[in-house]
Amino acid sequence: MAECVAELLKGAFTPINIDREGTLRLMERLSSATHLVSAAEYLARKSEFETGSLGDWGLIGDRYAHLPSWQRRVLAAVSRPRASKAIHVGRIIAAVTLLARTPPAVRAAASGYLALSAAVLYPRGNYGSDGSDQVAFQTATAAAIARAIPTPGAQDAALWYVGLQSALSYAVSGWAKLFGASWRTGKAVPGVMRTLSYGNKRIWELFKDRPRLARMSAHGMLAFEGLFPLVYAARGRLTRPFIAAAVGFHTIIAGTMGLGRFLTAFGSMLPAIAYTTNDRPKSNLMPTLAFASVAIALACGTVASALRRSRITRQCDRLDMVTCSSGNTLSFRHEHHRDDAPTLILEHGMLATPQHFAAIVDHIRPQLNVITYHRAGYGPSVNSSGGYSTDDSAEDLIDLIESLPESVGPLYLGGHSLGGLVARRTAQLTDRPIAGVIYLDSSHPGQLVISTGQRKGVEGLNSALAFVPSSLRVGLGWLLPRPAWIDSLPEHARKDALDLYRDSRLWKAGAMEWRNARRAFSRRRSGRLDPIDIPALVITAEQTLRADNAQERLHDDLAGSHNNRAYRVVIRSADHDSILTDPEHAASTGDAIVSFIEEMERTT
Amino acid sequence: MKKVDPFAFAAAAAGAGMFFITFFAQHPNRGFDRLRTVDKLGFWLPNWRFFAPEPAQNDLHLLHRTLSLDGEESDWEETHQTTRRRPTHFIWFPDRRTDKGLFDAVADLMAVAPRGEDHLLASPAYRTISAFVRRRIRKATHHPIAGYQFMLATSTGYDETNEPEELLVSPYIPLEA
Repeated sequence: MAECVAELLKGAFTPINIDREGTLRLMERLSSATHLVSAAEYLARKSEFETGSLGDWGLIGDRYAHLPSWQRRVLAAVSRPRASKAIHVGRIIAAVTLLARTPPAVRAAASGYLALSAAVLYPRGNYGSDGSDQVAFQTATAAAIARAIPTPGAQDAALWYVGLQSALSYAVSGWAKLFGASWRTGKAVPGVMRTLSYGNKRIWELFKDRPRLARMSAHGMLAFEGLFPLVYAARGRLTRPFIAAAVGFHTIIAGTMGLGRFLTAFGSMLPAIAYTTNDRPKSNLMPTLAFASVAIALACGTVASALRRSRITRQCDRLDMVTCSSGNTLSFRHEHHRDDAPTLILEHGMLATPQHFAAIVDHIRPQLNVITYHRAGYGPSVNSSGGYSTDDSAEDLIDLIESLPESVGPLYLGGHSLGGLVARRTAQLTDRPIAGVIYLDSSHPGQLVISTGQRKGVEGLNSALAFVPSSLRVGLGWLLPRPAWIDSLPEHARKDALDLYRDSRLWKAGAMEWRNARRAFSRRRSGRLDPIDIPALVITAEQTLRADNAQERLHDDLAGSHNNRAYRVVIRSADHDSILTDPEHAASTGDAIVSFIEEMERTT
Repeated sequence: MKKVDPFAFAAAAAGAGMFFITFFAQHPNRGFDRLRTVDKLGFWLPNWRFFAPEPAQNDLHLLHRTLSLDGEESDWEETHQTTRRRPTHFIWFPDRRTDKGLFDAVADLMAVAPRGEDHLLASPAYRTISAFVRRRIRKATHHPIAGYQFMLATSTGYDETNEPEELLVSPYIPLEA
């Protein structure tokens, strides 16, 4: 008995001795089974092809307006109900061809047709497509290439590609879940199972009052998925256990979540895992090239990150610097044009840069002296105190103000978003006379109390900030898309702004500020603000008002707290960021600022 | 020196290139999806972040009500009900496409919503959902009506201890005769 168990165990940890042709054939058959069921399911739903359905090209075609016109014409042609029905019938024929014993040339054509037809029909079926469609496309494409170029090297490259994508799919799915609190706590299991869409009442009832069981099952799944790439580290000895676990996993998913096509789709990639982990001689060119390119990109990203940081540090050479009583150092730019002109100090928002004000500064420069600066922790400014609250920032700004010569004209403080609150707090705390406070689509300390919309938005912000600083530190900054606002800034500000945006410190400082602000906002029992006896200008972006009904009240309250000495301006069509960055809106914002300051100077 | 088969090299290079792009397009934070912009169709570049980092734990519901020609409002009724699970769904589940399709369209719509009503009403997702509702009304209602309105809501599915929550209510949509 013991010998028998030992033999079984030994067998369970040996490579799967499948050959190239056997792997390819099994992959084709499982993949074609997915395509077959998918096409048949489409054809079984008559409503799919009616006007007003979720696949009505007249309605959804605009989602592909960015494509070249010839591509849109092709998609429109194949998306017509009769054409797409005919293509689906063809997909069934191609899938059956692959399930049968057919010559390689026919198999190449059938797989090619399945891949191409899946791609051209995808936009029509986009609302309703799922991961099994993605996988079936990948395996059909690889199979078509392997059959079309029937050399061992090309076929090995195709099978390696499928095997590596398979390992990556499990690893990513597992590791990405680790970043979700509900997976770590196990709450995701009953959470998903309670839904009618992907859940199962019995399973939900099993897990809902058993948090330990839910956590164990979530962690077991994460371990299986996250550790799947070990198949490549164990020279085939772990292939059988992981493939068995994968088949069991997809069978359970098919049964409980109604995702049957996932079983054959992901199953179609497993033969490639078996082949690429066994001892048979094969070409390893594809994985060598793949891992070399990934390693080179990671190394280049790290170097680029270091160079970016160095450019940011060198910005200090063009800026003035002040050391605050907190120990923080602030880098600032003082654009002093006229001794008799008032001075406006602009405070940037959270996760923002002084370059956000570039268009406004260019616009108001002739009339005003302007100071912009990096708050502690941002860009070249150093936060050595660890303080990121509004009060901490206000105290640093007071030190900056104290460092200015007495001859500086009347001082105005302006702030965008969270910067508005720093400007307000500074005006309250400083001994230097402040002639006015300018709120640029400012935050409000009571916004989480007053606005349901903003309270809900908080969760989105938390996840948006997650892992950004650490990812940027390891050199993944090049994966952050260039945001549209950068290109609406004046040319001279763009390069610095992009460097700052992709620098980990901006995101770290922003995350710390948000943690402090959220705590402070949540502690408030009411939205009312303490009065402040300084004139103010409250500038609001029209889109901010339209997106949240509570915003009007919040900005009314900001204005009201200035003892009836506040002006209100709405910048038409602007949103929270474009109020600064869009050239037209920035000019309107700048005009409002200049008018306010001129009015204040006239009356004092 | 071993001769390299040019076709094999081309296949390996193409596979390595695709793997490279796929690898760097899987960051748990979607803000790092710069490479996804190369896939204009949104199809050929795999997204392996299934149910991650946070899975959907609520059901979405599409409801509508109609306005009769004499100005009477109907009660809200569910336009499409999520298909109840059957054992056959293990291998055959055509209605999954409609369930998932509505989920996708609603997700698209909610992504546009913060940009204001003008963007929302002009979006393909809004027009698709609106047409979907209109088609259902026309099939189910045999008397003429003046127009309709739809609502999107979420619920916690089998867990009925929580109240459904309203996500969005469309403006009144007149129905041409």
